[in-house]
Amino acid sequence: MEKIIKVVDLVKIYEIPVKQSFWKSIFWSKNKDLLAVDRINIEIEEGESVALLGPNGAGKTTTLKMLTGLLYPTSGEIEVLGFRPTERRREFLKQIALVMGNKNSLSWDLPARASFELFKDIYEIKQRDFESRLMELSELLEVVEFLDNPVRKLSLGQRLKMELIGAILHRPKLLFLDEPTIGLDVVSKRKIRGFLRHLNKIEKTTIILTSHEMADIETVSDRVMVINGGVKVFDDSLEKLLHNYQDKKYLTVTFEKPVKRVELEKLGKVLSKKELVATLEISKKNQGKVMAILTESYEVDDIDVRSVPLDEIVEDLFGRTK
Amino acid sequence: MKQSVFEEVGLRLKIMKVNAAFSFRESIAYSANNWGGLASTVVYMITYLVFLGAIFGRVKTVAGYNYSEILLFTLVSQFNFYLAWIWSIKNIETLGESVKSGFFDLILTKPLPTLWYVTFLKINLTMLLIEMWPATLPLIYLLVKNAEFVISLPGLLWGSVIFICGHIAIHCMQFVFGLGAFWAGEYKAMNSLSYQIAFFGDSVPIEAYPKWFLTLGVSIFPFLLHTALTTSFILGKTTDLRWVLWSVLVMVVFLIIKKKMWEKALRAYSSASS
Repeated sequence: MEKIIKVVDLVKIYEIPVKQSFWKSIFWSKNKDLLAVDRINIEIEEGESVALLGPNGAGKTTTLKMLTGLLYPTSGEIEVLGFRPTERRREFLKQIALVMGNKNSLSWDLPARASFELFKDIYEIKQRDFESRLMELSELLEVVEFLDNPVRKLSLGQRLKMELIGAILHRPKLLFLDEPTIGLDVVSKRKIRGFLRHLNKIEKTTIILTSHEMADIETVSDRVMVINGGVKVFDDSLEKLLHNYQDKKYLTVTFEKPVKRVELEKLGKVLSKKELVATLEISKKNQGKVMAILTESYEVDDIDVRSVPLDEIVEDLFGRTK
Repeated sequence: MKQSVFEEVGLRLKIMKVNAAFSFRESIAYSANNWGGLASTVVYMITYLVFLGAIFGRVKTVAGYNYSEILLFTLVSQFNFYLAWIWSIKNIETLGESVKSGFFDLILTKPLPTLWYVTFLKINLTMLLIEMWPATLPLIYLLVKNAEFVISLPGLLWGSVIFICGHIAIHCMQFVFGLGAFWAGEYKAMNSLSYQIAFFGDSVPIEAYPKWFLTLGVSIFPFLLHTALTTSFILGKTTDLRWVLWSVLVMVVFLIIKKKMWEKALRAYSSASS
């Protein structure tokens, strides 16, 4: 597969205002340097779906904005689709799209269709292709009946679906998504995740996604890149990330009678304990033994075994790489 | 793939056409807003004409301009004012707001000549059709009724050239002020300052200013070109063609400054957090 993103030793330093006295701050603000991205190297192949993960302020959105050419890097090299993004060549921009969950590109007062017609002219899409593509996308996202409503009258979910349609009308090769499901209800989130997966698998659109929603990452992405404090701390498949934590299991046990905490602590780490329900963290190799003890020694109503959830894995990774 | 000059020009004209049509659709989304705009401009015009009538009821001339010449001066200043609101000022405000809010991210990722696009993002045809002409009609009526001057064709021609150059130069100056948003994240105070400078020369004829002020108003802050010098040329009070060349030069210099400052601004753009 062809590499469509190559990043070498990428660095971004922001200047941020320093707190000063009242009079100084009124007339002349003083700045200090903030290292947002620290020598990051990235290679992404065509057709991949990659999630950029990191706590707030980790540098993931800054990285994404440098990849789209919005921000100039302080140093380092970036090549996207064979172009230097900050040159903002039209051939480059015609092949990418950016969707930001909390920013609107559609005119607030007009129906979404009017903005789409503007995009049709900007991207020089033929009228027939435009009509069929718009119908296809709006049917997939179930928003056909809202195309002619003013955007300000749409719900957040409908608006975001319209933003997505507007972004991909021109069939971009590379789609950048910055928190695309922020603030949405579960049904809309699921719909959008499914749609993004469809784009990646069926239309072969390369997707670069940042999100704090682990379900977005699990559904949409195959590869995870974790950035913390401006440094890349993990870059591999989602399976590999999960595999690293597979030796741990969580057992949620529902007892018929109350059990003392000290007794459970002999079996594993007690993560939570209510009157009849307790959650234990155990190693995978002890799973059979612990379950046997539990069923033989106590009156157990139910046992639920699960792997460590992705959000906890990521939280642990953030903590360890701080 | 490098595009030809004709394709580039064609693209820019298309952007203007599409943006004008889109802005028109946006502006008619709130009809009450248009009625309000029309009412406020008509009230302003009538108030100003009453004021002029009161002044010229007591004096024959102001800075060597009689009543009918001042009416022409007012007409030129009104053209400049409306033209600035039709395409320039609203776009400078929109740019500042989009930089502040981060919406500019979504403009920058579109395959467009961005400077051209943000310069002509909003073209307010509604103002041209609904506000400008009705509000200017009383002024035109008084001008026709009281005309006591002769306009020569060369005067009108050179005056028009100076008007266009001055209008573009002052737009560039205001635009450069507005670019402060890229560094400071805020734009309103700078836009307000540039607005005051831009329309400074719209109240008194050029002949009224001392030499040092005149020099300032036709160079660093070119607020005397678009109305004051234009009217002076149309009325034949100024005939030296070096002023025409100077106006063209000022426009070109300001266009270059605008382009260079734009490039610097894009480099400084830090994009609002998401």
